[in-house]
Amino acid sequence: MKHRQLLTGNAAAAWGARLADVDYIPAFPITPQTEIIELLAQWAADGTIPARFVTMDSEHSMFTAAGAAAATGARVFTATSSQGLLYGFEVLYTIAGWRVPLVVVNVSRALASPITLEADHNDILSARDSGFLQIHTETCQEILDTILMAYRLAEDQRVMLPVLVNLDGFTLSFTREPVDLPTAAAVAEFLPPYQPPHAFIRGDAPMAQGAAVLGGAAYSYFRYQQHLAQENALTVHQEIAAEFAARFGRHYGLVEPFQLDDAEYVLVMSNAFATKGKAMVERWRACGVKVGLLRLRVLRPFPAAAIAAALTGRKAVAVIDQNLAPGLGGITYQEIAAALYGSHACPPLVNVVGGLGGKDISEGEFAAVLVALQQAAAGEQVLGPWLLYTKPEQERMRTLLKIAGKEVLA
Amino acid sequence: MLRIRFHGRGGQGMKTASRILGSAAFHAGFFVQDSPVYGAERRGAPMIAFTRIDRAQIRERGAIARPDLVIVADDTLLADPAAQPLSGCEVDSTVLINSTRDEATLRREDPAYTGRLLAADFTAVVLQTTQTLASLSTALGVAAAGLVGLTAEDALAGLDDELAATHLTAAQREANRQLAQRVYTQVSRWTPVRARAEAPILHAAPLAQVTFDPPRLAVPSVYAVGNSPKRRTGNWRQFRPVLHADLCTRCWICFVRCPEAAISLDAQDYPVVDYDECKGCLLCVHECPTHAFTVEKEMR
Repeated sequence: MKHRQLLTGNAAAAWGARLADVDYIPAFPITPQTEIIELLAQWAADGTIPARFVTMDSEHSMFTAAGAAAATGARVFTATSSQGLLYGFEVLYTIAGWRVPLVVVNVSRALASPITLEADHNDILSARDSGFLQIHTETCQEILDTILMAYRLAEDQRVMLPVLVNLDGFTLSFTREPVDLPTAAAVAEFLPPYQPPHAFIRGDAPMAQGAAVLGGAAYSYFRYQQHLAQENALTVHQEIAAEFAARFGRHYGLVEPFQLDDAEYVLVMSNAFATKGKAMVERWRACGVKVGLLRLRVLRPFPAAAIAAALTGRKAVAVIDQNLAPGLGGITYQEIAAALYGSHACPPLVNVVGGLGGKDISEGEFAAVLVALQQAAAGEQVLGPWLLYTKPEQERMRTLLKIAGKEVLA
Repeated sequence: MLRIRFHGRGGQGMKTASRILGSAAFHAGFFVQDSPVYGAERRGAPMIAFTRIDRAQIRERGAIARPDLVIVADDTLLADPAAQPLSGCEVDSTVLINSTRDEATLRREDPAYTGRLLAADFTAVVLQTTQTLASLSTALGVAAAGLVGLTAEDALAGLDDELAATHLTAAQREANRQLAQRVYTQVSRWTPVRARAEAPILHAAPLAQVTFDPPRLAVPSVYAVGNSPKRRTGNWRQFRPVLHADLCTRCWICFVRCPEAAISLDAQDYPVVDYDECKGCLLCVHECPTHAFTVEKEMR
């Protein structure tokens, strides 16, 4: 086995599950995730991994099986995308309430309608209130590393909640990059076998799991416990990240600052397109413009303090949301604005929506965002939401509408 | 950074070609990123794959808009508005086209293109060497590796990495390696591609103001009817099935099995292939119990 290989994001995710030595994988296919479960199915079939691999009839059954298996004390992995995540949606809330520590990979794909294949983050962000922890990744290496860290985080007694790990369809899922594969022995030291210390379902020890409660006070108790466990995860993540860095040489924070130290202007981005933002930052820096980037990584729990610390005192900040809450704007913009509210030296905050359905964010569009930041710093009102769309894209869309039989006004 | 873009049709192996190049460059010690883009997977539909090669970590993702080298697996793509294989190519680009036609003829397909244009019939070399079109990926992946200046050893190592993931027999692997050596020698007569000068930093793009449109426009519905037949798929074909009526028993298996409904029946119930629509999947050839179809290579 070569230590450093070219792997797609999907293969890196499958390697994450393999190195985590998972026991059970319930699966259902959906583009652009299917490669993950294909690889795991192949490894399970040829004996490479000892896990039990089971194909299910839907994502709803898949999440139910995943939660139920985790409730027996098994280490569980599964993966889905987009419509599949939504099809299993009610089960996400249910099994988060069971406090079972499985890891689910979501490969982002924009939601219907219109139905499409490439990425944006409305799918994963729809699950932000489900009780799952949520970590968004930028590179194939980070996918693998994050899955290993996610099991430690999920299984920690201060947390005991399931984790969603997000990667973008196409720009990561089908994209090969060099990935350092840790050895199984090194991973086993970092992530020992899961041994639940508290009661779990066993045939010889009957119990009721996920019991109903009547009366809001009992309900509130359990929900508040989920919230407090999420808050604990902020600290636990940092402990795990430090240990991971000591063992493997790669450090992942709650957020990732890029060229931020002396930055006057800041882009806030997440997932694979953050790479494009970093490239722009480097180009601007070469021209003497002090721009930096803050990449959102852990989205749940929401690291409000880390974000506020990174953004206060800047001349202007653009939050580029690759998602859209129709009638409101970008989703993470709202949360970042809330994190900054009332803070001293709160910067002007511009909300940009771009990259929906995998739409490119071109250099020219980034350059337009920088102009908006400079205007905002000069006191102009450019808050948005600002819907990125170029004139050539608009012209092309008009042509398509005409082909579809629609008379288009000039 | 070197940016290489592969254009082909689903089934021609251009995703694999981009990976052979990626693996070859990775073997040579470079940072590499490769990725394909396709819609709902369809054999014969235009697709694109990308390989980026650099000495430092690559900070780009997705489509390559400004390629240093473009590989075109199928010259019918030059005229396809959905493919536009020469987009972003300028005077300092190199385009390599797999074609039976010569460079001067191919240039007339897009007179606006002024960069370097290379052409060779790799399909013929493939058919002589491995006898299967599946090896076009080997030929064009290795051709790209040679053109960007990688050594033959690295090109073969990249090929071996990709072959390792297949179920080919030892003899088939050896045939692919021979094909690779032949193609590498063939392309080494050409000057290697150099990275184009980085484009200057762009000014702000002209952004469109997105305004409300009436729902009649703003729903994803198609009002135009009957436009599917206008999308002719006959040029997706590399090999055509040809019926020999004297061997046909009129069992209709080909008529029933054709996935494109491109086979109809004439007045005497003999099958007739509509070559405007036939994609050349050759299912009819494989299904015919009396071997009444032969296969002919398309020469356009």
